[in-house]
Amino acid sequence: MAKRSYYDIDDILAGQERVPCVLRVDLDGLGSAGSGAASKVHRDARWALPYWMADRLNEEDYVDMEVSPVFSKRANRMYAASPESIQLRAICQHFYQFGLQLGDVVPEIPHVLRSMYMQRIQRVARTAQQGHNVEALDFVQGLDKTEARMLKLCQQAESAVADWQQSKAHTLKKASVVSS
Amino acid sequence: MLGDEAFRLAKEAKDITPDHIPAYNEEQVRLVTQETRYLWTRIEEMIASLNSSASQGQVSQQSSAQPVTLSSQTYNTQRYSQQQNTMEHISDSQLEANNINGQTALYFLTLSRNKRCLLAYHHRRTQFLRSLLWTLHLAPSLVPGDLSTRLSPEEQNYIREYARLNSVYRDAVESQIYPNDSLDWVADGELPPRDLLIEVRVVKDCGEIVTENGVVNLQAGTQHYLHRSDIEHLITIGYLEHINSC
Repeated sequence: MAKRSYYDIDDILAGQERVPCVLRVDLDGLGSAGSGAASKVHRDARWALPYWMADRLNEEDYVDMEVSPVFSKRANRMYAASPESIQLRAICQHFYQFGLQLGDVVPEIPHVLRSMYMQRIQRVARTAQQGHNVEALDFVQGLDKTEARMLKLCQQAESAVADWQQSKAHTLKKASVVSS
Repeated sequence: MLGDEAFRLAKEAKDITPDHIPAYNEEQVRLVTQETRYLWTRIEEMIASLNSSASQGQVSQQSSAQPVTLSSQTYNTQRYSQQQNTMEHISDSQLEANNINGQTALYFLTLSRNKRCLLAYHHRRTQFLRSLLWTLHLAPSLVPGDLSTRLSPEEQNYIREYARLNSVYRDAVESQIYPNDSLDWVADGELPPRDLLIEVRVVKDCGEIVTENGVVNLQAGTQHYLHRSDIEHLITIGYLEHINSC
């Protein structure tokens, strides 16, 4: 089981992704913002619930949760076929985090995630080292949040090495907070 | 949708970078706590209605209908799933009870989610405040004005109290560790000092400062060769600029 912190913001954001569900009881309050208590969804209706809601209600059998389209069989085949060319940001911005949460329930997902990540992260590291050129732009725009953070870390490491080579590493700097 | 207000708080917490913090969203926090309190009263109402119908003997499940009590905030799954055992012969009252159970479960989940988002929001902000203080050498007066307007009064108090706590600790411990001289408690821990004396150029006029070697007049545009510990805080806030002459 992936270790997740209660306070982790990324975990909270990833848990908000919707999954399709079939309700077994009438539920209230599921409408979009503004309609409030006026919306009541009845039994055997299909509705997309956020994952944090769907998972727990599924345990209690108040809904039947189904696998999100992000990780459907067809999607998994697509991921295995060409991992590097997929625009993850268009599919799901918190792809990896969400997959980790779903992976507790659906056993094939960790494997899918792992192969995707292993292939894509190499390209991320390469892009960080070469600097941005035109071909990499599409790839960079299609990264999900986890990969984007990795890219930024790699770039920071690169510039730190460059600084050190120019003996600028030990310069005291003005605090970045002050200049904002 | 029920958890959306809290989700907005979580998104704001994500926006916090080492350089920038958005203003404390008092309005949103109030909305979320209001919604949470409302949900709690609804839950109590529904539990009460379940209890009253249970005591009148209208709800007959295969397991005895014990009055549901709200003990602590732990969500006892077994009590609710007891009601689901006989799905084939469902009478209207059982259906209604199922609905109420499901509704209660939903409200309770949202309640926990709201609590988690609120706590994570505040946790993230205090994390930022602590790291801010350490970069500013534990001097609350060095916090830029526009930044302190973005903090709530409680957070400004937090900054002051944190600095005070640290100085109390330092005073209590310093005489035992380092009896002859004072310890530079707030020197930057991540960038180890390389030189004892550093070359600086003055960007903004600071007036005169007292160093170990006497009084130095810091006028804009001049360059000096001074002890690091004396002027480090001035570099941090940008009045002086460190020139690296390697």
